[in-house]
Amino acid sequence: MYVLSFVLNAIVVSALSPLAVGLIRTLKARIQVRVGADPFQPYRDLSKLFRKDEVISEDASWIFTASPYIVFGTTLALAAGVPILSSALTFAPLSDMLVFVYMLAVGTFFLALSGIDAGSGFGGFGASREMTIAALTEGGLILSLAALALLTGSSMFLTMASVTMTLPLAKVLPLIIAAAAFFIALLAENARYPVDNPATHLELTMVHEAMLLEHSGKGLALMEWSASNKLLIFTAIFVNVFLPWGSPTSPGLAALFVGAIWFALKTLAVLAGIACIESGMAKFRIFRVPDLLFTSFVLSVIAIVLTV
Amino acid sequence: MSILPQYGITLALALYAAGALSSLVLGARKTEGAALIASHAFAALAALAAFVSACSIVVSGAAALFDAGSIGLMAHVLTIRIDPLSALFLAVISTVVFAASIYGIAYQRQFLGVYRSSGFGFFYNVFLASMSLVVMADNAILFLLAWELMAVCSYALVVFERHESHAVAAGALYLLISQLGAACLLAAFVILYGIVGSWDFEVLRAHTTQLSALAQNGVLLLALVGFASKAGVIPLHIWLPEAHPAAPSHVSAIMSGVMIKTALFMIIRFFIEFFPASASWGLVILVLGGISSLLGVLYALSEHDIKRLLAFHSVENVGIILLGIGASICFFSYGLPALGYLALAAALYHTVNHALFKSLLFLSAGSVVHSTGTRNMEEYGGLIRTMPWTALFFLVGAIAISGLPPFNGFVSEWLTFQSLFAGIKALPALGKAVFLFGAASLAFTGGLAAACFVKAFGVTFLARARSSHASHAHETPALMILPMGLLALLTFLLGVGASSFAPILSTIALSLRGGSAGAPHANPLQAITVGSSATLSMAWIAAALLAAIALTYFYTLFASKGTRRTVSRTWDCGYPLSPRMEITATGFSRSIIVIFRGLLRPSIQRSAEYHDAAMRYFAKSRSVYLHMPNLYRTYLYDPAGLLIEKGAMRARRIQTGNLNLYLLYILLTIAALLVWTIHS
Repeated sequence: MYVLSFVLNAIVVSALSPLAVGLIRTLKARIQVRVGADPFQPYRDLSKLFRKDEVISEDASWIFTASPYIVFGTTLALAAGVPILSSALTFAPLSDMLVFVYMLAVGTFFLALSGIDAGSGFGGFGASREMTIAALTEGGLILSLAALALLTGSSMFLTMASVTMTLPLAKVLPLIIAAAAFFIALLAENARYPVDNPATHLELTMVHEAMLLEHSGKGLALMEWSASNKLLIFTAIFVNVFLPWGSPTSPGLAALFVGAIWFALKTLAVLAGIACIESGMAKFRIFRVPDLLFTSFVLSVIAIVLTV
Repeated sequence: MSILPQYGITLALALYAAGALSSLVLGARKTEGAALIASHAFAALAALAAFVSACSIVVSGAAALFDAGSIGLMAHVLTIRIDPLSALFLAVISTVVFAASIYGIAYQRQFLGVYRSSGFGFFYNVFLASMSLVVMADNAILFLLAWELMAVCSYALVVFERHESHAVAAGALYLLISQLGAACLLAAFVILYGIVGSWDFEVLRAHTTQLSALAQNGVLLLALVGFASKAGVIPLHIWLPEAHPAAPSHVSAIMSGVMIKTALFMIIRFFIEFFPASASWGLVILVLGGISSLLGVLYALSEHDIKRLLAFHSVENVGIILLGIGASICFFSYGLPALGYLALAAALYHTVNHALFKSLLFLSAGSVVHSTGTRNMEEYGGLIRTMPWTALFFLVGAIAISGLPPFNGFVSEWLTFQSLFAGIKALPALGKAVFLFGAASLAFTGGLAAACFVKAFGVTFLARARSSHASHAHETPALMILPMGLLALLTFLLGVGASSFAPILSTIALSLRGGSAGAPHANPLQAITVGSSATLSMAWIAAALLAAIALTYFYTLFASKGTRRTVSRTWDCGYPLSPRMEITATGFSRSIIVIFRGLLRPSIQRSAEYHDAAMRYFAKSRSVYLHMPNLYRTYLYDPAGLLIEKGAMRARRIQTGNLNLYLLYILLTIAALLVWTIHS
């Protein structure tokens, strides 16, 4: 069961995550009255990158070449612990919320190191900003999940998901506040508006992209792919753990099918929400981002206070 | 009771003595090299002997008790008792000392002919012996003697580079705070002796209930101040970032890795074992822990001296351990022993972990300093090419201290988080609030520590060399690499093998309070937490991570078949790259410092020099001075010092130099004493 859920989740997330990113881009284009590429464009980009030669900086060390594998590997491990199609199909040892948060930090750690490694000013500043944002997001991320853990009496995603569904109406308010806190963390961790602009290559504003500048070919492909994996994993937690209505708890085939449809619908709604946010507001100045992240932290504290 | 521990400990102390004496005997300038080797080799052997005896006690679970000085005046004073808790600390001390002593043989050679090594070897061995005695003493007098000896000897090691004025100043500050703490401890033990009538820990333990609430809180306050000053708890930490870096690096490793832990050991003894656990003290310790962890990591971020950065991380990690200890005290006092043992196991686990990865980091930082000749991180860069092993081991330490799986730091942070969450669930309102504060500070601390170590590792080892010091660096000899390898291996094993190690700590925690009532789950990793159980399986996590990375690697191999990899220059926007364009340590943490400027109060001064007064667009040169003020000195220590000085000036007035007046003082004193004697 362990191996099955590990492999299944890793494959589902890796196969669908480029589509999620493509959908946001298409939706954004439509909202902004552009035609835009179709949602499958990220697949073409990735396969093109995998077939291109790679250029490595002469200043870079093994950290730079190993990082794409480590960063992508951590997203696969993260995917294994999160209920995607069904909460019965999760890899239990990685399903703990703290394991999730710190495993996520492993990826961020190596991503930032690879940004510094090539010795370009862009990479260094990207790493500095990424670590600043990651450090400040951690409070909201851990405490919003902790609120959920206190609400459901378990720190494991797989148990959380099944308990959230049976919560009495009185407990729904803290759940919604915690979900809002988590959503802010989702935007920050995935380099979305208003924290970062995923489409920019302007040196003054880029955070995530700045660290990827020196990557090319398969290294870049893995980095881009792991970023989209991360987005899908966060969305999955948001829709399946915070708002799990509809997602099945039994591993049967029929239940899986229903689960897949619910998951698709809810994910689509979240992606549309992100597209709307990105079209409707401007990116924050970097020193206004902490205000947003502290808001996420304060919301989680309120959720916890309402829970216990 | 097995006889092994007694012989082992005696052998260890004898070996330390041999190390100290051989260093003095071989002290002549010609044989100084031999003195250096002998003192470190004896210390390593002694650590080995102590480690074996400590392990045998942990395994048997029975305390070893013996009187080392059954002769004359010292009878019943030199009593040594090694219970499982002492044995754990002794084992940790010995492990770190073993690695650091072997490292020291090669590291200390650089000072031959510059500073006298014989004195160093003497103080080094006495320091190590007294540190081991601190955790084994079963008598207040022996404890205080060992405690003071430890302080004085470590002072001698801090001022080893006696021609460096900063080292001497750091030593003076260390000695001052150390004596302040020791005075508090002395007062605490004297009060206890006055009420209970014994110096013996065994008797004290049984009779603390005799104390009135006032006496009890007085003793605990004095003990907390005394031990917190040694542990480096904010605001009593100011000596730590000065003194630890000033000592030679392997001594820094021992001071930061294990010496400050002896204070935590005594806090556990006082607040959990000697006295009945009191919730209010538990909450105080929790708050202190939260503040220390959060501020410690922020100060570390603002450092660009590699050893000071690591020293501030000790403040942070002591804070994390105190979160566990404070939580444990609260749980015991609220009658939740199962959670109390869980939190205590978390604190003990983090103690062991911090000892290992902090000494690993100090040793690898020492190699960098040794090889480049500077402690300033802005002058490093690209060392991963010239010092691959040191870089690898520093990376292991950096990952572990940031609490990232699958290394050991994660396990203890997980346990601490679980106990804090459990407290939020189970305690009354005030407890909930304080535990929530603890959990929040731990959450931010984890993220900031990761940021700080990305900076420390990235700026030191990655990109291009930023000075000729760094470009001429070389890998250090095997005697320095192997001890680091040992510590790195242990760091990894305590992470992956957590499910075998945690139950041992659980047993030790249980033994502390008789261990009968409310026995927790045998394995704290199957923690009883926020309701249902949470399980942490580090082996599975490590396996899954490894499998995922392997999968990625083979998939990429398949997907990118036929592509080539070329090495070329970093994209430079058409302008030749120089090392000055890389990010610096100060630049890296700049944004975090700006965000927390309300707490850190940095002062920034900019100045620019122009070619001519009319044209102000292109400056000839610009400079920025970023200064991090020492707020504790400005607002706490300096005013206190001023106050003492003023008081002293007042008190000076009674000393006029007039003999008649002094005779009057004597007369008045005798009269007062007479009245007092008659009345009582």
